[in-house]
Amino acid sequence: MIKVILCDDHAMLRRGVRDTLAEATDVRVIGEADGYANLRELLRQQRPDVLLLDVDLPGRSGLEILSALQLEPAPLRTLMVSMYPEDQYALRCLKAGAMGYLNKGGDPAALLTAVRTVAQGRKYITPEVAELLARHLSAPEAAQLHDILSERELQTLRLIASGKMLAQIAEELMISPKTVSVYRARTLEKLGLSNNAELTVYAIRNQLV
Amino acid sequence: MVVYRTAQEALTNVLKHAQAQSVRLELSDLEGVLTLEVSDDGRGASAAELAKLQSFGLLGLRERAQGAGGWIDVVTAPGQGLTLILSLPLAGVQVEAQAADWE
Repeated sequence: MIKVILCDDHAMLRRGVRDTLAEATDVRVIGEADGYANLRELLRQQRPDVLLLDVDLPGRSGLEILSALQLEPAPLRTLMVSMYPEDQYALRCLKAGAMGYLNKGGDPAALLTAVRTVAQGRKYITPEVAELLARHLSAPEAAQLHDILSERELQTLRLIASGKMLAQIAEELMISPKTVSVYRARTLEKLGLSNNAELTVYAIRNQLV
Repeated sequence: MVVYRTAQEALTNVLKHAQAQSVRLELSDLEGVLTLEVSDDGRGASAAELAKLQSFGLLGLRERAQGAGGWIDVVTAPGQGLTLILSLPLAGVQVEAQAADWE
């Protein structure tokens, strides 16, 4: 039996997904959440085999939640579901650790296949996503997000990611803690992140530390 | 005006003291703070030399920055060039450097 938790802010959509999954005898939805707080609560009580996570949640977005969940020792197998076409979010989701990306406009049967594939620990890649991946591979060395950081912002990022405290970073860079705070705020803004934990994950993923 | 004068003074300092091959100016106004960085690849300065520099234009720059609610950082070591950073919070922005906003 594959245990699934749904996280989507639209009750109707959860209902649709639940009904689709209910047709299969080997899949059971053991919980539903409408956002991060709710999901956390659910995950404290039980651990699903597959998490179906909406990309576009109010408050903490699905991508943020995905990144946060990846910090845990044994990350959940997460399948991202979105109403956006693949080209906008699919690769970002996969890079952030998702096991697959599913367009809400897709075939309901694909949902079951996806859940079963991911439950086995395999990636679920639709033909659309496969094409994106292939194109991404053949593209010339893609510009990194952190290329837009100034040298000192990059240093700040590295030092935060290596666990240094504000005062230590200030000392190391020979600048005042206030200036470090400014650089940190800018780094977060430029990379679209919201706290030091996410910064650290970013730095590790991109082998900056 | 503070930014302009600071850039001017910093460049003058580079010309007078640094023996630099090149100098780079960076300007940013993201997150409510205007930052000017003037970095040269010149000979840099030791702590003692830096203290002497204070008596030149640097002190004036610090005072000017403080007058406008900002501050100046100087990063240097002998042989490693010198970077002067002017940070100027834009209207209504409070910059806090506390552990509280760190997470």
